[in-house]
Amino acid sequence: MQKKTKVILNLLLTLMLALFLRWAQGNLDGYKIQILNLIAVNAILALSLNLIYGFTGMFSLGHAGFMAIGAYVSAILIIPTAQKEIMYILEPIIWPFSVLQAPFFVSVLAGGLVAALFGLLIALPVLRLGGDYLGIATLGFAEIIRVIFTNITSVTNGALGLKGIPPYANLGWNYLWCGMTYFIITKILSSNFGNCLKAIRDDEVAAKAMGINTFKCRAISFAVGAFFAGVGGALMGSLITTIDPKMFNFQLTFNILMIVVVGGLGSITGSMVGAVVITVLLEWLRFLEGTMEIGSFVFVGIPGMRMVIFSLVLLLIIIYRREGIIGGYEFSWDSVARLFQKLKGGRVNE
Amino acid sequence: MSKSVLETKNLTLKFGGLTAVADLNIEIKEGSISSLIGPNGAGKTTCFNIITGFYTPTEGKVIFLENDITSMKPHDVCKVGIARTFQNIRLFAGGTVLQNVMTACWVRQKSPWWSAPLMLPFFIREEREIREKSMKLLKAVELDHLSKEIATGLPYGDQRRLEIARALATEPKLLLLDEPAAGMNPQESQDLMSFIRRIRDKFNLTIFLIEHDMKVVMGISEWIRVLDYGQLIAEGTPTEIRSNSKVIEAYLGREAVACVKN
Repeated sequence: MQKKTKVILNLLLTLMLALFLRWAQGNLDGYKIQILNLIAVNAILALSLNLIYGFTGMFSLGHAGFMAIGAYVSAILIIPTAQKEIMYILEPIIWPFSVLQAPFFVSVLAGGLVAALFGLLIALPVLRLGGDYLGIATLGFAEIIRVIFTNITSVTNGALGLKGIPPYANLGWNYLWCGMTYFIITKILSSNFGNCLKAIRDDEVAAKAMGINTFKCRAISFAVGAFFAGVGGALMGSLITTIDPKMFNFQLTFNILMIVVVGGLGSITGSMVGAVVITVLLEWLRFLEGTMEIGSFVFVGIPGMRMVIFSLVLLLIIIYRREGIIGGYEFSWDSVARLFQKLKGGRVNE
Repeated sequence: MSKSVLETKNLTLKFGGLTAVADLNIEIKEGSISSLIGPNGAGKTTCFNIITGFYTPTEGKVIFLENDITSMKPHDVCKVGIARTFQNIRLFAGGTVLQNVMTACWVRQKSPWWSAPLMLPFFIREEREIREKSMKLLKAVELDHLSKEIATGLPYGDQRRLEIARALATEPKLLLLDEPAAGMNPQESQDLMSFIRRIRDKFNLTIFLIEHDMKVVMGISEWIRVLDYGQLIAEGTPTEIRSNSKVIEAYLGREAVACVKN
């Protein structure tokens, strides 16, 4: 297939998505729009974790920490000054946080950048570790962030959290950021630098011998991952309109890890599909917790029942399809064309 | 006399009480094919690991083209022009044949990582050049028809050649081959010998190899060094080494030397 055709198809697909979102904004109810929003945010988070874990092979459990940083930085930048003064009742907010203001796009960008900066800072000591140790160290980092955010009351409003964050994060913003994340991460991974990251994952010794500065490459990958985690956190903050330190616990990291693993480690398409499937499934399974009538029997719903079913589904996926829903497969127009040709019964034209 | 590419001076590496390499002095001439032999555990691979920066020697120096590279990191050693292959093939398992070679081009790549998402023109041009260069290298090792295959799915001999192609992609001046003929049948090792000579001439390389297959060693080396218990016990041309009693003793034991002499 020619490159030009692919570009046109990509543009068409983007246009279709944009039109769908435009339609959704006007015609769907708030609940469904919220699910669509969550899909975009989860996709951003899953892509960033997949870059770190799936492609560079660094088992990182610090995502909630980066999200917290992004969410707080962005929230402080977009909450109006007057509102900040009223909200900080335990301790007044200190300068310069009390007066800093920025447009929404800039605030999300700032959230990502600060998260990336922290990513680089902790990369220096932590990336010397490998495998499970790295996981534990980054998990520790996320917990430290949470504890710090609970205690620097004059900046974060402590355990009370921030409420009434302006709900700027609509479908447009979320999908714009999601599209940018997808584009940037795909471009990085399809470049030769992406080859280097995968080489480090596959065989670090050989990568070193082939002249790759493995520490530097891993640090870059980690920081880029942290950036998009921060962006995801910032969008989520504005989407939910209220954040507090307790929200950014291990459960949050686990949810993203689940999307990445279910979708397929080391597959961009997998992370996108995973984000859709898991987000929708988590919401759809809520009917299990309500009261059900089957014939003359009435089942009283048990709160938390959906998580039981959900865990079972996960278990089945891990047992029967360990490489994830998508596996190592990546979406491409070439494979779509091949599929169509196969369906038509024609010969496959390479 | 051609100049020396690599020199080691009093190279010593101790692991606790064990001396893996003891007071090693070698000098490798530019454009030569020389080899390092010795019984198992003699310290040959350790020697390679010191040269390529994976181990830091306890004492001594490694001089490459008149520069001290003793305490350099492995990736910097590669950058100055030393590439290597591994005893147990170490390909990037997830990547294709082409990707394996392209990855090794990174060390010479000028465009930084962030130019990828920005799609800067010089980045796109360089990526294309790297792809072409890698395909050329694959052609040189006769693997170009397999460029889209997953690297670890290749037959053993092809994987060895791919590893060499990958090492060549870093544009080395000195190529270290760690047992390139391991696991090959006589015909394959015969081909390998002419292959090594061919790439030496084509890429102006100096080649230093570790090998156990004596047919290959004797057939290809212009100079042979023998290591035993970390010490250099002999060096010379293949004919000299063949009749050296110290070498026979190291390989076959003292009785064998008596046998040979009678």
